[in-house]
Amino acid sequence: MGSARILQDLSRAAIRASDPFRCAALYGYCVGRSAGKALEGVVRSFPRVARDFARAGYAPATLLDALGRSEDRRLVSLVAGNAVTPTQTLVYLTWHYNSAELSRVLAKHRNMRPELLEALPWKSDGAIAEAIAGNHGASAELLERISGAVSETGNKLLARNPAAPTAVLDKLWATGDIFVRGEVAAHANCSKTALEEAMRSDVILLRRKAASNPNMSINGLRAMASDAASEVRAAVVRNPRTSTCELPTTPDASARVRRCEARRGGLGAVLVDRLAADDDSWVRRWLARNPSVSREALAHLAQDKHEEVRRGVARNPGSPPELIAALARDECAWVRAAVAYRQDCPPELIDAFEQDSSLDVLAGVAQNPASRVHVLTRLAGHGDKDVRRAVIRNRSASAQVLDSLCEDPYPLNRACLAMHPALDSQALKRMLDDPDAQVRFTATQQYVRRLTGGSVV
Amino acid sequence: MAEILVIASHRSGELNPGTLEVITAATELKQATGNKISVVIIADKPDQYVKALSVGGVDEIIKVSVPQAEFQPDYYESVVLAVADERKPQLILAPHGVDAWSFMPVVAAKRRYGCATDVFEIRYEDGKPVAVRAAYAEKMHMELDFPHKETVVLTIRGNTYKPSETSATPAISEFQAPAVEPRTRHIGFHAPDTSGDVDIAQAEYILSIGRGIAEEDNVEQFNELADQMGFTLGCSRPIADNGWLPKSRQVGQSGKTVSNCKLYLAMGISGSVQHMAGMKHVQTIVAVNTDAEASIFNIARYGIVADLFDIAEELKQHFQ
Amino acid sequence: MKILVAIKLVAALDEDFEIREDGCDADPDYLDYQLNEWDDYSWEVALQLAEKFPDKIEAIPVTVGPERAEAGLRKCLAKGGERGIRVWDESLEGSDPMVIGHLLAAVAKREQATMVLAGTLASDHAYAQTGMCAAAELGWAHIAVVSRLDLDPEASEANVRRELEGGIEEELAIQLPAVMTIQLGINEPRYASLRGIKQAKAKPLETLTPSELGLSPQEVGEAGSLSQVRRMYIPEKGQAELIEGTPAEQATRLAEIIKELRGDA
Repeated sequence: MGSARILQDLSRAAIRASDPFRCAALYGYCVGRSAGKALEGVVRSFPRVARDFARAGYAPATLLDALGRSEDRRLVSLVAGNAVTPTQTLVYLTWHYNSAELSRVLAKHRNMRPELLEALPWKSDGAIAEAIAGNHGASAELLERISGAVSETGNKLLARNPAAPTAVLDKLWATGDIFVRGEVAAHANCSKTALEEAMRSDVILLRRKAASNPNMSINGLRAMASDAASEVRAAVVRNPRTSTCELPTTPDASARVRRCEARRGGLGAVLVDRLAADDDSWVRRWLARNPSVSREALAHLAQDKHEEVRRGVARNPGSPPELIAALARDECAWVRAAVAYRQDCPPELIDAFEQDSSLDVLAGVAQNPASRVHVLTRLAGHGDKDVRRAVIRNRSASAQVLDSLCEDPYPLNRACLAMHPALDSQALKRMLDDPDAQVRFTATQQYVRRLTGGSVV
Repeated sequence: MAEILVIASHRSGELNPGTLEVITAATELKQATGNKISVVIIADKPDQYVKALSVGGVDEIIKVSVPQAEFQPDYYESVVLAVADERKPQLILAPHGVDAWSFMPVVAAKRRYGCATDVFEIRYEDGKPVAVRAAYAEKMHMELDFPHKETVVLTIRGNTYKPSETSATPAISEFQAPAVEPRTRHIGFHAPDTSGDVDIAQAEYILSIGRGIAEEDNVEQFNELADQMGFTLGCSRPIADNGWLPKSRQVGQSGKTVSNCKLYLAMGISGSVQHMAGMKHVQTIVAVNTDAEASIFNIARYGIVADLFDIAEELKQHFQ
Repeated sequence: MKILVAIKLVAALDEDFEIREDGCDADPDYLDYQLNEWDDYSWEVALQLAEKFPDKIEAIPVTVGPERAEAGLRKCLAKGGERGIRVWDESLEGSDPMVIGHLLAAVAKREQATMVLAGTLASDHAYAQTGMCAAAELGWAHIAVVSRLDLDPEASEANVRRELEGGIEEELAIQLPAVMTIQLGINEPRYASLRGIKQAKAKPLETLTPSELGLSPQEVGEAGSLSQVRRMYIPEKGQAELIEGTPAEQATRLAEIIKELRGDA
């Protein structure tokens, strides 16, 4: 049977069963056919389901487009507010409706193109102008034009909009309150003059923001490295323009600053040694997770009395096999779990985890693509639904292992299973009639996707 | 003069402060209706509570001795019914809570009194009480009235009225408890199990993170923030499924229901039905999300539309 | 012995919703019906007991509601149990927990049940009264908010714990027969197997009317109720208060809120 014919049969069955979920999943593949209207009709006949789709992140784009073109104002407004609504639908909504309320929702949408934002009636509606001020898709030119039309709230949104041009920021610096000025000082387009004023300000917030500015001069950073306020010094350390060679050799009095040091890449050996011996466990936690730390330092941190420091080492991609093997026997389950989730974990270590009493460890093993078939087969029969779902989420799980999970009583597990590319097509087909709506939706979507190779027939 | 009975609540020798709030509620009604307020204290040694109950608004304290120190429904019901049969009160009030749940509806049902629970506003219209309470997880308020009921039983939501604080010298009387055979027997109290891992279900202050975190490397800074704030870090399912936080930290239908939470700060959580089911008992929810249309804002008390990393960084500045 | 478990198909509100024309409830267009969450737990309690003592204990779900309420019974029966009971006729429209409790009591007598379990409350109206009203009508021992239940069907009393403030529990013995309301978290409710869901469709459901249970017209509907809904409305504070400004400003306000709520200086 050809795929078009199968699709037709599936659609008929979904319509006959009056199942809005199967219909929604099929919709994208039947646009332009008479079945498309009928499928949409079934979805629309369940107002609550239609509204749920209109606001859902998982809604098919074609369905959102259809719902956006309906005469139901509530549905249209939900589609306009849905972050995954495609630009083409937003184009339609922008040109087709003349509603201030809808325009305000559209003005916030991240998929709005600059010329669409331009077309909204921002001159006559302050709330629209304000929403555009906060839209990161707006052009510098538009932001400049609306900058005169927005209130204090709009100014705050403008000051943190990455597209805001220097001229606008200068104006905001001159007129804004301390919070607006703070945003200007941190902005990549902030003028040199404003930045220097911020640097010399009495207000800690402004100095801290200036110290975090990606264009701050090296000299400026050097000057602020000895600032009286620890939050400013911390911002200097965090700024990638501060070279790690510039970090002070003597420990900063504030743990806040030392924690930031421990997060920096490319730390020198002396500094690492100093941080590894720090009294503040957070300094050591950050260091343990730092991928640039040497094996020697990691070996030292792997002995730390604080379990979260040891876990950091166990998650560190730079930790060598012998450390990982040692941490696999850690007394703390959360440290062992960190090892169990590592894809470079040797199979014999994973095998040893199989008898672990911790669900976190077992879930790590179940999800690990390096786990062997016999381990996955056994965990697929585990009593805990989260462990079974971890097997389902394992992208190396075989069709046979997955097949044993088709009747999992937990609906979410079946929905996840339907998404697995290795699931046998016959098994997937059986899920089309699942009692759970979410499972039917996902299974139908996946089944059709396989059938059509993802393209509209 | 008509009467309002307030049934005092206590545990392990301590008066439940909700009792004083109920007295305030009764006092407000007294000003409107001129009713007398009588507080019924049922305990093995009721005298120990008399001082704490001698507060402004109270006209009489009715002491009733029963053989058991701790709450027992059969004693409470028989006493309240006997007092009510004699005094014919207009209202019988008690603080809404575990004990009230066990006996107040029974009192109402046995005499077919009017009844409403978890009430946060009472007023009189045309001489008849109207009670206001919430439904549908606080999304709606409902007004109840009680047609043809001479007596109405109400349990009053906590933290609605200020506890009565001024002292007073009410009349003190004693009431003979009817003889009943109690059908439940107190064996003891058990403290919550605090051994083992962090118990998110019992945490009072929770910072919870969701999909908006995007990467495992981003989790640690929220661990740090929670630590600085003195909050317990929780998460939604995707975070636990990825192994980024222990499963014991997961809030939601397939995870835990947080039952003791005063403040829940949800960051980067859009609000799946399952997750929101786990946080339905939270007193105050604050949501931080970049998507202004996210479902979580529908149940939040405070909303912040912003990038969660920006807010986290700034929030850190306030908790050192 | 028979354990009757009262269940309710509750109405859940859509995110945005409208009020019904008479102003007394939500517009049904915005409602979605599902089994009350607490009932999953009380049904699980009964099922576990029935499985522990297969020849001695029968668990029966009971509901009061129109035909759609059968979905709730089927959901329970998909997990276990052999039969369900539904009580309804139109005279029950507008009934409050007193009437429902009265009907449950009548069913309990008819079935000669030894125990009635109900959820501590239902998530729609949250009255937390139904179970206790049934207890009053039956004259049985009762306790609310049960977080643990141990039962030996041969014994004359059960050992239970009820959840108090702040996670503390009171342990107590309760005489049988008894009515208990069950708290969330008492167990981990199972999910129905696909086979169970299929089989449940064929399990018998008995339908009873109030008059068959001996209730007079004065004992049902508004006449039999202890309260009456006059009006429902959306509270002003229903929407989130948006904290605006720059992140630094928003965080400052948030920190204030946190410190205030926690009573920090």
